[in-house]
Amino acid sequence: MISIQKGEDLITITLQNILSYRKNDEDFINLVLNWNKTVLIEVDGFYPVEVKFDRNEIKFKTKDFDKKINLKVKMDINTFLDLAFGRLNPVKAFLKRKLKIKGLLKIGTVLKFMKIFLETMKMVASDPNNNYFELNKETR
Amino acid sequence: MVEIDKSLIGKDVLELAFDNCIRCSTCKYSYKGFEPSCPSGERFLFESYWASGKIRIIRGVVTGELEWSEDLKDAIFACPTCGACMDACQAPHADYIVDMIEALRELAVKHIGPAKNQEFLVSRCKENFNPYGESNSDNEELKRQFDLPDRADWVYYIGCTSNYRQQSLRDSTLRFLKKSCINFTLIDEHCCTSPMIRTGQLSIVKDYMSYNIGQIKNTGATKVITSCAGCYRTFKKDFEKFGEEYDFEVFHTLELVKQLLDEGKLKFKSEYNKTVTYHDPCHLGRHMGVYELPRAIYKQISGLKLVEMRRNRNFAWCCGAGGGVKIGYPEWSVEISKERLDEAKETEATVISSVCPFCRTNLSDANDNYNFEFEVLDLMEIIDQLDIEIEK
Amino acid sequence: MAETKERNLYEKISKEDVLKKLVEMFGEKYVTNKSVDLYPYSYDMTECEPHMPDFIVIPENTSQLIELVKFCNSNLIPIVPYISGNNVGGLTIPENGGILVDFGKKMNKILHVDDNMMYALLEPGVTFGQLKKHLDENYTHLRYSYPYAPPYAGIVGNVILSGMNNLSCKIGSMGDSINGLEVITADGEIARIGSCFYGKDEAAPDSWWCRYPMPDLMGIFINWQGMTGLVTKCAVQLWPNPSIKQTYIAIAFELTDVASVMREVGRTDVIDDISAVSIEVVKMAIEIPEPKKFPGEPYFAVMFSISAKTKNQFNARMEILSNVIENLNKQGKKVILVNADEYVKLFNLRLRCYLDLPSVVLPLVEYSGLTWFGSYAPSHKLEELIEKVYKLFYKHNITPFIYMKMMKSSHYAIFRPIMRYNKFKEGEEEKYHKLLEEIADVSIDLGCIPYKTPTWMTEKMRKKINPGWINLFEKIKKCMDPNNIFNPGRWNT
Repeated sequence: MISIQKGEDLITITLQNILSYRKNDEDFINLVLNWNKTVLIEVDGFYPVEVKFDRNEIKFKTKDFDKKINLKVKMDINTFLDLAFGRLNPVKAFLKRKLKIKGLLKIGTVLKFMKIFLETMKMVASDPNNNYFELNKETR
Repeated sequence: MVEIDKSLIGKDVLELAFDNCIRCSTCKYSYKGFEPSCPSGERFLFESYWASGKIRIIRGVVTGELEWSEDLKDAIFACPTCGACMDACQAPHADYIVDMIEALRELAVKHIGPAKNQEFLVSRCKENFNPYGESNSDNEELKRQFDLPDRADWVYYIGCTSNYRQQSLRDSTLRFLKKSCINFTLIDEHCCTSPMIRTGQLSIVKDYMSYNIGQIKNTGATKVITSCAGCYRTFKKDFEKFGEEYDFEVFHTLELVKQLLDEGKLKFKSEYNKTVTYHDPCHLGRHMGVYELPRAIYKQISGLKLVEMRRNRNFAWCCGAGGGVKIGYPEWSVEISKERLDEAKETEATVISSVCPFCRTNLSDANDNYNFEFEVLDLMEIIDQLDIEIEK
Repeated sequence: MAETKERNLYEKISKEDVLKKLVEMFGEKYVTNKSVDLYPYSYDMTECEPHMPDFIVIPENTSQLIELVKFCNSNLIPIVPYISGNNVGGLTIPENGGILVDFGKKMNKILHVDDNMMYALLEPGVTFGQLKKHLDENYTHLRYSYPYAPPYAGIVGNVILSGMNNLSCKIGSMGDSINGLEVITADGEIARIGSCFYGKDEAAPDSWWCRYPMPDLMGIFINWQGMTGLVTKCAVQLWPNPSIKQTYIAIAFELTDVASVMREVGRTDVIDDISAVSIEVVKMAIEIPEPKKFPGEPYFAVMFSISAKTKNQFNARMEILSNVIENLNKQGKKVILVNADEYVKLFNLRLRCYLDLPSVVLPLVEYSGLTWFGSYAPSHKLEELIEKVYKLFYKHNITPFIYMKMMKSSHYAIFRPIMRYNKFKEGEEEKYHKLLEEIADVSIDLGCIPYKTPTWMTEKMRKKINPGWINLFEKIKKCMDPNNIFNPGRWNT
C-alpha cells in the first residue's frame, strides 16, 4: 500500500487526487515503492511543488525544498490537461517547449516519472465516471 | 451542548444529530433520480416524518423544547428505516441517519415506550426467543431431518422469519446447502435482535447476541451463513455496535452461490423460463451495499429474463416491513408493499424475487391483499426449482 | 425556543375551533397542531429566531386556500407560506404564529409545459429536481436554469424572490422570467396576472406566455415575501437546450481582479452564467473544513457556462472569451483560463457539485447552520466590496466564503458572502451573526440590496431607503393586506 500525503493547496490536491487513483494498484505500487526520488513540478503561474517518493510514501512540499532534486518538470496548466486527455504526447510537448524538463539526461528517471505520473493522469482523465456522488458508493 | 443520557447505546449518534443537518430536503427523494424514496414522508407528509424532521426531533427532545408525549410516537416510529434518506443525503452525517433514528427510538422507549404492538416483539421473545411468539425451535428436528452433525465448519443461521414464517425459503436453503460442498449445522437460535434494535427496545439485545455467539462457538464453526438480509446486517454491523465480538465470518447465501458459480462448481442444468424482477432488500442493498451479486446469479439462470423496476439498487422502494412497521403499522406496511408491486407490474414480470424473508412476507401479503398475480419467491426458492449440479 | 410574538390570536375564535375548521377544509390527514409536527417548521438553517407555528396545513388545491384566506382574514390569523424552507433568511419562520401552509407536499404538480412558447406552469411546491426530471424525460430540447440550492428547493420561491440561476448572465434575475401568476388576495379573491388574465373563470393552459403589456400587477407579489397574498400558480420561462454545453474556469490571482474578469466577460454577451467563488470555497467542496489560501494561490475561481448549437458557434464564443482573458493579461492582470470539466476530473470530482446543477452544493450542507448576506450589487463597486469584506472575514478569524455572479450581460452583480457554522455550538451563532452584521453594514453602504431579507436586515435598510418608497410600500401592504395576515413581520410590517 502506498501512502499519499493529503494536499491542502490547489496543485498538491490535484497531484494527490491523480496519484491516489492507483494507490491500491499493484503495478503502480511496484513502480513507486522504494523509487526514492524527488521531483519538482512547476505549473506556470503557480508555485512549485516538490513531490518526494520515499519508500512507500509520497509527500508534497511547497517550500523548504530538498537540496537534491532529481527531476524538474515545468508546464502550463493547459499543457497539463492536453497531456492528460491525450491531445498531446510528452515528446511533442517537449519539442514544442510546452513541457520543460531539467534532469533529462537521467532518462531512466524521466521515463519512470512519465509512467508514474503521466499514465496515471491519463487513466484518471479517461475514467468514465463523472458523478461525484457515485464515488465510494459500494458499502456504508 | 446539552447533556445526553450516558447510558444510551446511541448516545454518540444523538450528539452527532445535534450539530448536523441543514434541512436541505435532499433526504426526501433519490438523489439525481428525483424519485419519491421515503415511505414515511410520502405517507404522512409533515416535516417530522422525513429524516431531517427526525433529526430536529432529536434536538427538540434532548433540549427539552419538545416534551415527551404519546403524540411523538408516530413521527418517531412510523418509518421502516429503509435507509433511502442515507443514500440520498450528501452531507457528512449521511451514513448515520438510520443510526440516529434508532437512537431516537431508544430514547423514546425510555420515556414513552415503543409504538403500539411493538412491545410484543420483546414480550414474545422473552417467552419463546422469537418475535413471532411461536414455540421455540431448537432446530434439532431439522438437524435430524437433514442429517446434520453437532459440530461443523459452518452454521446456517436460519433466522426467525425464515424458520417460523417462510419455511419454504428455509427448506430451499437447507436443500441447497446439503447439495453444496459445505459441512454445516444448525444451532438453537435466539432472535438475531434486529426487530428490537430497529424499534429501540434494547433490553434483551446483548444477552441474545451473546447467546447466539455462544451457540455458534459450541459447534466449532468459523463461518456463519444466513438467507435473511436482516440477520446478515445485524450480525455484520450491529453486533460490533453492541460490543459483541466474534471470530467467525458471516455470509449471505448469495455469496456462497456466487462463489460456487464463479469457481465452476455449481451449474444450473435446467431452465427457468419466466420474467423475473428483483427487489433489493434494504438491509442487503442500501445498508450493506450489495446490489450486483444477486443480479449476477439471476443472469446465470438459463431462460430467466431479469427486468429492473424503475427504482432499483440504491433507489429501490422499501417493501415496508422493516423498522418495526410491520407490527406497529400493519396496514400501512402492506400499502408500502403495494406501491412496490405496482412498480413491478410495469416491468411485466410474472415473478418478483428477493433475498430476504421479511421482504418476501410483506410482498406476499400485498400480493394477496391487492390481488396482484405475482409469484413471490426468494432466489433460493427459484434455485430449488432448478436441476443443479454441484461439484463436491 | 423564543416565544411567538403574540398578536392576541385566538381571541375571536378559540384554537380548538380553528382546528375543527381546518380539518373541515383540508381533511384530518392534512392538518396538525401536534408540537412534534410543528417543531421542525419552527426554525431554519439561519440564526433567525425560532418561532412555533400554531398549525400546519397541507393544501391540495386553490379552493381550499381561498377558504383558508377568508377564514384567516376574518379571524386575524397569520398565514405563512412554506415550500421546503431552504431560503437563507428566516422567511418561513412564523414570527407571529398562525397557520403555516406547506405547499411542498401536495400542491407540487407541473400543470403544463408549453413547447411552443417555452414555459412551464407550476404549482408552488414544484422543486428544481422535479422539473429537471420532467424536462429530461419529456422535453429534452428545453431547459430551465438552476441555482446553487438543493434540488428540492422550490422553483416558485426562487423566482418570486428574485433568485439567481445558472443562466443569469443571459437572462438576469429569475424575477424577470415569470410569465404569469395566479394569486389569492386577502379578501379571498383569486386573480390571474399576466397574459393568462383573459378568460373569466379559467385560463387556457397555453395562455401563460407573457407578463406584459398590461399594467403590471406582478410586481405586487414579487419580492414581497408572501406579504401580499398567496401565490397558487406560477408560469416560468423555459429556454432552448443547446447540444453543446461546457464550463470553463478563469483563475484570478489578485484579490480584486476577479471583478474585471466577470465584468468584461459578462459584456461579451456569449456566456450563460458567470459565477465566482473564493478559492477557499473550491477547497471546501473537497472536505477541507477550514481551508486556507496559500501564497501563490489565486484568490478566486470564476466559472463560465458556455453553450452553443454548433461547434462553430462554440468555437466563436470561446474565441471571444479567450480574447477577453488575453486582454486582461496584457493589462497586467494574472488570469488563467482552463476547461473546468477537464480540470475537475483531475482535481477532484466533488467539484462537479458546482457544475451539475441542480445538485447539493456540498460545502453548504456540511454544518448545521448557514447564513449569508445575499445581495444584488452594483458591479462597479465589486472591487471595493471584495476588499472590505475580505478584511472583515480575517478580522473575525473566519474563512472567507464569497460567492458572486454577473447578471444580464454585466448589468448588475450578485455579491454573497456566506457563513457556515455549528448552529448549536455555544457562541458560534453570535460570532457569525456579528460578522454578518458588519458585512451587511459595509455592503449596504456601498449600495448592495439584500434579497430574501431577514427582519433585522430590513430594519437596517429602512434607515437608508427614501421615505417615498417606504410610504408607498406600506400603503400597498395595507391595501393588499389590511389585517396583516400574510406573513406578518416581514420587512418589519
